[in-house]
Formats: sequence, C-alpha cells, structure tokens
Amino acid sequence: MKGWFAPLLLALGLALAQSQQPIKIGALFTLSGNFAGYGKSGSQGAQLAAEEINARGGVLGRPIQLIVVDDQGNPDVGVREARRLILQEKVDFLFGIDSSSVSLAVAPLTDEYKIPLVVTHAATPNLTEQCRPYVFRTSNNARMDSWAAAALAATLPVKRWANIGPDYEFGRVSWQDFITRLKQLRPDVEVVSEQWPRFGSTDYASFITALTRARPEAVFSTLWAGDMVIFARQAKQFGFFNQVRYFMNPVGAALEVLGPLGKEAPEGLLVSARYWFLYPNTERNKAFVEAYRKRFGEYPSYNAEEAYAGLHMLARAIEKARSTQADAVKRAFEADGGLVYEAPEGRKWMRPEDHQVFEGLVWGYTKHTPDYPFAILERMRIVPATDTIYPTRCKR
Amino acid sequence: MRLLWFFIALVVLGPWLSEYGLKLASEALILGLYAMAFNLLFRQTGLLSFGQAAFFGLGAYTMALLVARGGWPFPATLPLAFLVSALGALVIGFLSIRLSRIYFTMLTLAFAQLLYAVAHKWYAFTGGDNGITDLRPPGIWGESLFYYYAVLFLFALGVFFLWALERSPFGYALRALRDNRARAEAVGINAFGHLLLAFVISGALSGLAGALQGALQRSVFPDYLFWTRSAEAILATILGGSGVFLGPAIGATVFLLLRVVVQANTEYWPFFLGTLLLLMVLFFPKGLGGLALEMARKWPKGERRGASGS
Amino acid sequence: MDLGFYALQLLTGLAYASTLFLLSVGLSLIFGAMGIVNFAHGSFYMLGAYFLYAFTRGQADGFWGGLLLVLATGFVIGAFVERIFIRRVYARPEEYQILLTYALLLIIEDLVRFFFGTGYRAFPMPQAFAGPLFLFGTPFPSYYLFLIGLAAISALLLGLFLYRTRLGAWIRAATQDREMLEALGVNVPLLYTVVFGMGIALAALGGAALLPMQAATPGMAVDAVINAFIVVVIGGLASVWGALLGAVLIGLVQALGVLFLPEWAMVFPFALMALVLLLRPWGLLGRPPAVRT
Repeated sequence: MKGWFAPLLLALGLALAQSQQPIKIGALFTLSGNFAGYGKSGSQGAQLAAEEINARGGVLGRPIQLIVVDDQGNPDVGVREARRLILQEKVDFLFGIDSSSVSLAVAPLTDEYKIPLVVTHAATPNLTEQCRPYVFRTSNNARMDSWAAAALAATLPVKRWANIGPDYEFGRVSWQDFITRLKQLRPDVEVVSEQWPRFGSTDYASFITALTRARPEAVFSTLWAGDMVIFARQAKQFGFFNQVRYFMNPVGAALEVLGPLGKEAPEGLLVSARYWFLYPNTERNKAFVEAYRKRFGEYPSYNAEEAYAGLHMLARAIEKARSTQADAVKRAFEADGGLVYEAPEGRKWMRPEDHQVFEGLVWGYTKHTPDYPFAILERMRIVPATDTIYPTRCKR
Repeated sequence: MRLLWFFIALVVLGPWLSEYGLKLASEALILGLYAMAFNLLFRQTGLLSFGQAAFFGLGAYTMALLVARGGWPFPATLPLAFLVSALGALVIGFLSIRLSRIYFTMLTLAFAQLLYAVAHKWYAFTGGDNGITDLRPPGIWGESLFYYYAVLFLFALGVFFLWALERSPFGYALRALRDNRARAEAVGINAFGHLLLAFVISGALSGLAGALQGALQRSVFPDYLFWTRSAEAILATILGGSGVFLGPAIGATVFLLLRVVVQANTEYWPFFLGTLLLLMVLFFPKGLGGLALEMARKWPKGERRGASGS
Repeated sequence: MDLGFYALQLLTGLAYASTLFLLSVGLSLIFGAMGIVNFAHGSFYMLGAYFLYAFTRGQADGFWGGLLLVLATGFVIGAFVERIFIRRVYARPEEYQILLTYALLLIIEDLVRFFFGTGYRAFPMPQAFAGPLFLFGTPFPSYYLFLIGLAAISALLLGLFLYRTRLGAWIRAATQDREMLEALGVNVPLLYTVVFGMGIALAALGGAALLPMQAATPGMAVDAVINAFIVVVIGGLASVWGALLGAVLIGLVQALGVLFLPEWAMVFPFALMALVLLLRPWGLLGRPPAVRT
C-alpha cells in the first residue's frame, strides 16, 4: 500500500516546487550615462510592482523575480545582456528598455527565442509597426504624444509654428508626426523655423536667437532630459518664453526635468509627460504615489509609473493566460478586443493588432506653488485616448 | 607552433560551449580580429588610428544594406564588406597619412565621426538611428555553432594573413619606416605607398569584422561608426599588449569578458573597469599578452631559480 | 535691425566659444608642455561643475567664493593626480597615456555618479546676472557677457604669465625642448606638477563657470573631452592662442551655421576639424613637430 505513497509525495513535492519556481523577468534599463535618472525611475517602479505582486501571493502562485540590468543605452550591450538574460538567467520575459535603438535591437531576439518583451519607455513608433508577435508596449509612444499635442495645438489660436528638437530619430519623427497631424486638423498653420541642435548639446544660444528671429507664435519641442533642463534655463535668460505665446513639449513634464529646474522653471509652458503624479485624483493614483514615496523617498516620474503599470499589466496577462508560455500570453493580451488595465494614470487598453497600449494623456501649464520645490501643472487639459489612435499597418 | 595549437584548442572548444558561450566566443573573435587589424597599423607602422570605427561600420552597413534592401545571402556580402571598407580606407588613408602622430589620430577620428553623422542623418538610406534590424542570416549561418566556426575560420584566415605579412618584406619595410623614416626612405622605401597599403589592409579586415558583428547581433546602428567603437580596438590592443602578436586578440577576449562579468555583478562597472585598466598600465605595461609570455618563459626555469635563491 | 541680429548671433557664437576655450586651454597647455594626451580632461571639467554645486550647496550667493574654491581645489587635485599617476607614464609611448587617462575618466565618472547620484544639478543664476541686458532691442543674458569676459581675461592672464614670467618662460621652453631645460638645472618634475595642476584648475574653473548657464549631468565628461580635442587640434596643440582661435572658430561656425544650414548643426565641429587638418596639418597655429632621428 505504501508503494504509491512515495511517488505521490514526490509528485506533490515537484508540483509545489514548480509552483514556487519564480517567474523570472529580465528588465533592461539605462542605468549609466546621461539618462541614468530615467532608468533608475523605471527600475524602481518595476521593483515596487514586483514587491506588491509578491506580497499578495505572486502570479499563478509563483513569485516574480525581477532581474535588472544596465543596457547603457547601447544596442550592442542591450543585445548581449538580453541574450544573457534569456540563455543564462533563463528569464520568461524581457521588460523595460528606455532607449529606442536598444528596443529595436532586442526585438528580433523575441522571435528567435520566443520570449515576450514588454516595453515600458522606448517610444519609437517603429517598434510596434514592425508587428512582431511577441513585442508589447504598455506605455505610449512618440506618435501618440505628437498626435495628442496636435489635437491640443489645433485648439490654440495661433498659426505660425516653429520647432526646436534634438537631431535624431525621436526629435525628427515627433516633429513630422506633429506637424502632419496638425496640418490635417488646421490647414492654415505654417512652419516658420526648424532648429536641430545636436542631441546632447550644452549651448543653445545660437539656436534660440535664430528661432526668435523667425517670430513664431508657438514652438513645439521634444528636447528632453538634460537638453531640456539646459535649454529652459538658457531660453529663459533670453526672454524667449515671453516672446512666444505657446511652448509645447510632450516630454517636458518629466520630474527628471522639472526637478532640477526647481523654482527656476519658466511658468506657462504647455507640457506633458505620459504620466503626471498629481493626475488623476483617484484613490488608485494617490495610493501609488504614497507607496512609491515611502519606498524611494521621491515622487514617481512618468517612467516609474509606466514600469509599475507595465509589470502589473504583464502579471494580469499571465493570470489571464494561466501560463507564462509566449503564445498564451500573446493571446491573453489580444483577447476580448485587447487587454485593459486600470493603472494609476488611468485606463490602459492594448490594441490587439500592434500590441500598442493607448491611454489618455494629461497636459498642463507649468506653475510654481509653495507646496512643491518644483513646478507643477495647472489648467490641465486631458487629451482622450481616442484622439491619439493612429492607423497601424499590423493585422491580427 | 604555438599558434596552431591555439586554433586547434578553439576548434575543439566549440561543442562544449553553451549557446550563450558560443555567442560570447564569436563576439570575442570578431573583436579580436578588429583589434588585430588595428594593431597592424599600430605595431608595424606606429600609426595610432582613432577612426577604425569608420571601416568597422562601413563593413557592417554594407552587409546590412545588401541583406535588408538587396536580399543578398549573408555569405555573399562578406567579400563586398571587405572591399567597401578597403575603399573607404583608401580614401581616408590617402587624406590622413601625410599627417603626423596626434594630428593623424585626430583626422581619422574626424572622418569616422563624419561618417557617423552621415549614417545618422541619411534616414531614408540607412534608417538613421533606428538602424537596420532583422539581420539574422537564414539557414545554417543563423545557428550559433556553425556561426562560431565560420567566425573562427575567418579569424584564423585574418590572423595567418597578418602573421605572414609581418614576416614578409612588406612587413620589414613597415617596421623600417616606423623606426627611422628618413633612413628607410633614403634606402628607397616609398613611405606613403607602404603606409597607405597597411591602412587599407587594416581597414578591410575591420570591415569584415563589422559585417560579422552585425549579423551576430542581428542589427546595425550608427553607433558602429561612433568613436567609442574605435576606442574598443585600442583598449583591447593595449590591454592584451601590442608587442605580442596575439596580444590584441587576448585583450579583446579579456575586455569582453570583463565587461560582461563586471556588469552582471555591479552597476558601478566603469569604476571597476577603470581601476583594472589603471593597474594594467601601472604594473603590467606589456599587457596581459606580455605578462603571459614572460610567465611562460620563466616557468620551466622556476626550479633552478628557486634553488639559486633569486 | 538685420545687422543687429547678425551681431547678436555673432555674440552668441562668442559666448559658446568662451565656454569651449575655458574647457580646452588646459588641455593645450598640458599637451604642449608635457606631451601628455589627457583623456581625463573632461572629467575634471565635470568635477568643477559638481564641486561648485557641492561647495555652495546650490545657493547662488556662494558663487564667487565657490569659483575660487573650485580653482584652488582643481589645482590641488591636478597636482595630486600628476604625482601619483601621470608621472608613471612619462617615459612610455602615447598609448599608455591614453589608456591611463581613459581609466581615470571612467573612475572619476563613476565616483561622481556614486556621490552625486544620477540627477541633473542646476545652479541658480547669481544675483549679479539676474536680469538680462538689452542689445539691439533683444534680451541677451548678461551672464554670457561675463563668460566672454572671463575667457578673455583668462587668455590675457595666461598670455602674460607665459611670456612675462620666468615660470612661464620655462613652460614655453618645455614645449620645445625638455632635455635642454633639465640640462639648465630647472626642476622639471616640479614644473610638470605645476603645469598639470594649472591645466586641471582651468578645466575645473570652466566647468564651474558654466554651471549657472547649463547643468551638471552624469555624462558631461565624455562629451566635453571630445569637444576639447576638436578645439585644440583646430587651433594647434601646445598653443594657448591656438585654443582661443579654435574655440572662436567653432563658436562662430555654429552661430552662423544654424542660420544657413540648420540641418547640419551636428556636423560642424568635425567638418571644420577635417577641413583645417587637410589644409594645415598641424592646426592653425600649431608648429610641426621637431624632426628627431
């Protein structure tokens, strides 16, 4: 009679062990160089989400094990580290990625090794337009940012537009998408100047004076990170922001930018950042901000929230699929018209065709208040997700 | 001799490596070839080129464009990558070689950065900083073990070619020019022609390495042309010791392994890498290759030395 | 108005040139007198910026004192680095210098990341420059005029130092013939320490002086050293006037270039460098190296 006891115990033990075996998620973030601040935010957000998930029992009874790696913003390093995560660490999922070029370099590996990649920052529209089966993006991309900006810009009483953007794909394509969409909505607008400082420039004086000379009524910019901090300070010294009626920047409300600018930030800039910690005023968002602040001693920037929400959304998909297998998770993301997740920032919906998440975007005008050491947003304008849904060439 | 045993060891090693190990080994061999090409210039002619990335990148982009836009099979692109880089080296070398020392170095840097800017901005042709992706060669060339052997074969070819070059009259002429240009020219050696040819060979081999790297990594980006890529060849060479023939290859392997291992364990990898390089320069100036040679020489005599007490 | 605009644009070019000069002149001095290719130059520039922030705790009223403190600290650190590290590679060929200074660059960069974190540090505008000037009817930051002045005065003082003092004469002699200098009984090792310290102090001053107009960022060292090399090579290594000329050229090319060829802004410095080197292989004010057998 005891013959079956031992094998049963063994099987139970194995099943238990299997269920205890963690779900490994390999996260690639840029943790060195000029954009290390963004990568740090992202990894922190992911960490908070992993801890929350594990505190409530994990996913499918298994804990999440987050392995965070620095890709240095370099595609070669990204590919090497992604391979190491897949082949040595045996991760079930790849996650994160700040740099667009790293995301494009890593994407082919998802097909080669059948490992899903959930991107939470890299913003090139090309990534999802490649229509790969195992690439998903839970954050909004540059095209959505530009379309939201254009939707807002169309309501502004100005016609003469100019651009100052970093001279690389992100800056170029963002401007292209913005002005093309704006001209669709407002055929009367005209472009009076385009300035393209090198990405990583530290001196904008010549660009600022050239820009002012063209006398634009409104300026669009996708300068971000250190570039935006430096540009804002220099432009302010030139009285630039008094000479244009509107200055729009879809990534200008990042805490990585507003933080260092502090009380010196110009007021009245119309900026957005994919997530603004003071919006929406829901319990979910307030709880998230509180938890993040307690854990890391700072307010969550957009990259933190996107990573946080992205990991939760992935967990949701795994639960729906009842498996970590790539095709099952893919189906879970795509099923029922696309997975929906209520993130702190609002509702995220993933379009099944291209695996791109769409969500509302909050814009606002910068304003100093005594409550915070940095500028916050007032007179907020919400651009609904529907205004940003662009056509995709992917099919399901 | 030793070189042959070295390659036999690498051949035998193949099946024992894991998938990841094969990728790393392939990357090390490619970086090794690239560094050896750099060292041809550096050791034999004394020219410190900071623009090798130009040729590495030219080779990579040639392969990428032919595969992605032209539908060429991957192996067929390799000779072309070799040729295009050679051509690029011909042009850049022609303009740069008459400069001396640091100015030569800076001009090669300038040309590489200009090429980088072109790749970056010529969006329609090169894809800009979106790069060219999906470069996994179809069929057996996309398999790790075969690719490793292919890279090893090409590496061996390159190395044996450089070895033969070093012992040839051409090699002697280069060294003569390096040691005493005036005297060499007085004997009738055409400095410009010799240096240019060395530059072209170096560039062509770098281009081959670049093409191999692009296929291994499945994508090519403008940063293949960025100056940090040139710095990798220099660092690998000095780490391994430029005075030893295989020094650059050894240095490349160690450099790569260091980066991978240190990065896996700490986020402060630049600090550790920098400290290691510092120690290398201060205490092991001949590089790891030189160190290995010295130890190899001392080892059999170890007993006798111990007895004499020195 | 048009002429006024071009004058203004030129002024922005000169302001940019001033920042480049302060960054690069130390590099030129070090290479000229010591033959050292200091790849770590940008990291001392970065240290200057971060130190100013640290010394003043980000308060604007500590600015002037902070600048002087940074200058002094830069000198001390430079002298220290020279004694401990640079000294070891004098006898060795150039590649060891590059490797050594590159190693220092990596180490310093990570130390800064460790101590200061990854965020950008912005420094408020000192009170004296708070309000803009009005030139040709346009607001122009007075701080840029300060920078232009600072660069001009530095160049002048350096020039006086090099041509009117004995120490300066020794330094100039070192750029031409080190062995002779030693034969004449000058304590060359001490001279080297002083020169290196000076070069680093100038770099640190540059970084600190730029802080109110820019920001201290974790990646600024590498960017800076490439710019510094371009300036110095265009102007001619080992020439302080060369550094000035190189900086001015790049500043002007950028200022005017964005008016006529805004698409190609990122290319200007390298294109200019390539052009200069093709036409004058030793830089504009450089000297061909002495022929040695």
